[in-house]
Amino acid sequence: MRKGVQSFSWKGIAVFSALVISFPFLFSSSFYLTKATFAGIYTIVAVGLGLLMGFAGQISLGQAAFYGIGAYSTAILSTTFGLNPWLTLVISLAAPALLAYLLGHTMARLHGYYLAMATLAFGIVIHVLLTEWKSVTKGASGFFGIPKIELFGFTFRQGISYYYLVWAFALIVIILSLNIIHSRIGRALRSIHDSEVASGAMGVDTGKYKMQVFIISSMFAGLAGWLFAHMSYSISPGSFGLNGSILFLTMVVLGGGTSIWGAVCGALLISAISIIVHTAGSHVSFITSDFEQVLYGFIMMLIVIFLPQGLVPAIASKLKKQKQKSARANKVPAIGTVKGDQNV
Amino acid sequence: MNDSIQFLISGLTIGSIYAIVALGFVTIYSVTKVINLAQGEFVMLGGMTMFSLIKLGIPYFIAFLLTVVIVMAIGWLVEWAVIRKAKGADPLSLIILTIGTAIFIRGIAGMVWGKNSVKVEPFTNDVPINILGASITPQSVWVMVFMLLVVLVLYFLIEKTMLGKAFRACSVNPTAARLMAISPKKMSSLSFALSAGLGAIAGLVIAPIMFPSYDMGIMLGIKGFSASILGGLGSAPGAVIGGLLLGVIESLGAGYISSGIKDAISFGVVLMILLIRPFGLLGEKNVGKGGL
Amino acid sequence: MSSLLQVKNVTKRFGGVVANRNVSFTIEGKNITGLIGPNGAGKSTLFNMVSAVFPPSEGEIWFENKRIDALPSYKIAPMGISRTFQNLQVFKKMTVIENVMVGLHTRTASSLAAAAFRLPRSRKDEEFIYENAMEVIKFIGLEDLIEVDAGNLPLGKLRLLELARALATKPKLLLLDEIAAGLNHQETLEMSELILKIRDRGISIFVVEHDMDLVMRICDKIIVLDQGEKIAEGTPKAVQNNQRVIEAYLGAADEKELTV
Ligand SMILES: Nc1ncnc2c1ncn2[C@@H]1O[C@H](COP(=O)(O)OP(=O)(O)OP(=O)(O)O)[C@@H](O)[C@H]1O
Ligand SMILES: [Mg+2]
Repeated sequence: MRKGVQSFSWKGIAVFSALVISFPFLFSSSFYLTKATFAGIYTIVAVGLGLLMGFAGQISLGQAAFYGIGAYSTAILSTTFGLNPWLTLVISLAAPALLAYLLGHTMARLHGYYLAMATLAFGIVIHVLLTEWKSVTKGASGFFGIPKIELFGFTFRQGISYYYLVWAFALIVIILSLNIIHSRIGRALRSIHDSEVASGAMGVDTGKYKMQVFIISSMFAGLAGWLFAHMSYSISPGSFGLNGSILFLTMVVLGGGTSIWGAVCGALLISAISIIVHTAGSHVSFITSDFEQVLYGFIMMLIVIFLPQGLVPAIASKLKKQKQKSARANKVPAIGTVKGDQNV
Repeated sequence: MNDSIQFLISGLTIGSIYAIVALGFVTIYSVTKVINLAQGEFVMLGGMTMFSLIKLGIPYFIAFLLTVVIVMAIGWLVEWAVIRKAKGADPLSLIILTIGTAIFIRGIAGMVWGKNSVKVEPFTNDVPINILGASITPQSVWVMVFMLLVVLVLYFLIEKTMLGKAFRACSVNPTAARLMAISPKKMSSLSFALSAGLGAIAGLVIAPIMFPSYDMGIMLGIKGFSASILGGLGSAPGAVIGGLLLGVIESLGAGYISSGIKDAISFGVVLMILLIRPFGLLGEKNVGKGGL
Repeated sequence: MSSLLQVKNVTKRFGGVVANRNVSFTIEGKNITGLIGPNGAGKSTLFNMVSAVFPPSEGEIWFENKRIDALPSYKIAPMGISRTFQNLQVFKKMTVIENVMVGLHTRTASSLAAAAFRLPRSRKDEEFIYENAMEVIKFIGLEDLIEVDAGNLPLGKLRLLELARALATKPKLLLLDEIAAGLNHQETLEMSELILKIRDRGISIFVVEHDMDLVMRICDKIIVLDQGEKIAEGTPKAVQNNQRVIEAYLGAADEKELTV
């Protein structure tokens, strides 16, 4: 391990994988399994969006559109044209990537609010097309008859096998993302946050990396869409509208976009909240889906006001401070530098 | 020909609403540099509150005024309880904050009023007027009249009164404003109350045409936001032009192509315009970074 | 000897303000050039144009016989120009070593895909980056602080960190904008030693500095700006005795540092 450098640790991945693997043994009911499978799908989207928001400093209010494009590409190609889902996975990744590339050219020139507008508009256009292009998407009632994914004669059906399939992909996505942020490109992206001028002076091509991260995040969303489509027998445009985009946004905001694990935790927490609300809803009358929305809104407000970086980075920085404090108490010299604090 | 006039009229009607909502965005943005994505919820609250007040048996005109006051109070509350607490947040966080506020308000509205659309009586009778072979409902006329009224009143308020001067001082230089005994905090509250009032008026005049429901705010808010971005963020004339333009594009799209894809057409146009002129039609090049 | 940097008739306007007016000069290799002038003379503006933060309104800038004034700023570092910032632009949320590692960005090229899949190429780059960053850090003398977040450093260390980061790009020309501002006497002395050591490594240095002691001691040549215009150029001795320079400094009431 290199001292002072954020780097990849297999420990985190190993612990997390162990949790993921053991979950079905602890909660084997199909309700929990389905929710946990969805949590995996959301994790994939959230990690991508987290990269975009936390590392490229861009906001996307249209992430659900990429998710939808991934889902519909594979649904249409595998059902209407009978292609193998493994083949259509390529399209589910490439189509969002291509659109992100085109949209990215506008993004390179748009800042702040204008960018929010562009992704918002994009999301709405895609949602409308999914709903209205009935000859291809079968419209608002949804596209059905989507085949299952098979591998070496094994069919992944909703339930335990699909849970493991989804989480295998989610883990791959997490590992790839961690690798990215711990590389020269990850540091370049982090540097943009603190000083874009200095980044430029160090030779970091800001626009190029923002574009690449946008494309990656759209591909992750596309992958999630692919997984979603083949899990269910049918999909409908309702899952890919503005509410979806806001849901993903809430996950990243809650967990914290400046850390990959933050996005993961955000996705898991929101999934857990939805389970709790669902369970409570069958006992208490006023807890409805509106209540869930109120809760998400409330979470967003609280987090932005009290923990703007999100849960995980906030906790991490707290732990770090504590560590430094105890280190100072133990007179470990390496950190004795903080004495200069007052001079800054 | 008749068709196109008909489409134009309905486009200008809905465009007037977008314009009022967009002016609400501009009012808040120019004072606080916050983009309030909960703006559409004020419109929804306007329509729904009116419905409830009338149902309580309150006379139409009084209900109208009361609605404006109530929604303004809510706008003030939103600023005081939410926005003010996050001062100094970056644009990204502010967007998230106001989205959170929006879905919070919408969720509460859903729990209070339920999911159904409600009906509000028009201001005056319902008999359509014929102009150049196209028919226009009196309520549409009211919508446009109110839009013009709003523009006039806002113009007067901003250009001719102390309040306007204070607003502008805050937007240009909050520190200097404070030195001149203008409280940016107070102005921020006022700007939220004012634009909530604008939202309420939009909601009131459109209610008889649109059958308000708890979830109407989000789309109206986005359209108003688009209109203000189209016109160039921060420009009031731009907001009005952007709003009317968006309304007309949408109505022509719905009329000549398909009402289902009207949103795709209008937002497609928004995307195109942002591509060609990333700073909007009348915008300055350096706005849009916001929140600074 | 062909010149390293050529600034030809450069003018920069900000709205009505003319920050630089028709400035021309050249910088030869392997020595230290000073750029001085009263506050607001346009020194930082000139640096910003050489490092392509923004383009000049008029005029041309050439580096090693290549025109650079229309390039985007990220293309400047790989050509061999690096800089520090008067108003400190460190990456606060990154550690000292990570800051310096960003300086090595352009000396490596592995792609996003290589990073994501940890291809051998990316691993090799990471190793190269870390080793070279460590080397620069040792040269500057920050090795005890590598794990500290830059945001927690005192001013003196921040200036050193900026210097280390700039050096990491392996520049041929190093622009230092008031690198000693805010440093105490001891730190300033150490800084000037460091600058001389860097020069001895064959790197040309272009410094903006208000501390005249420092400037007169280390510079081989000095350029003087006043109100955007170049009013003098020459050896420290010659500049010190130049009548226009003395007037410019006496005219600027808040400038007291010139000890003639
Ligand atoms: N980005 C900018 N926009 C507008 N005006 C600017 C900008 N940068 C510099 N100026 C103006 O240009 C003039 C020169 O500024 P500059 O920062 O180059 O001076 P300087 O010589 O570096 O001064 P100092 O010694 O205080 O650092 C000043 O009048 C300043 O206000
Ligand atoms: Mg300067």
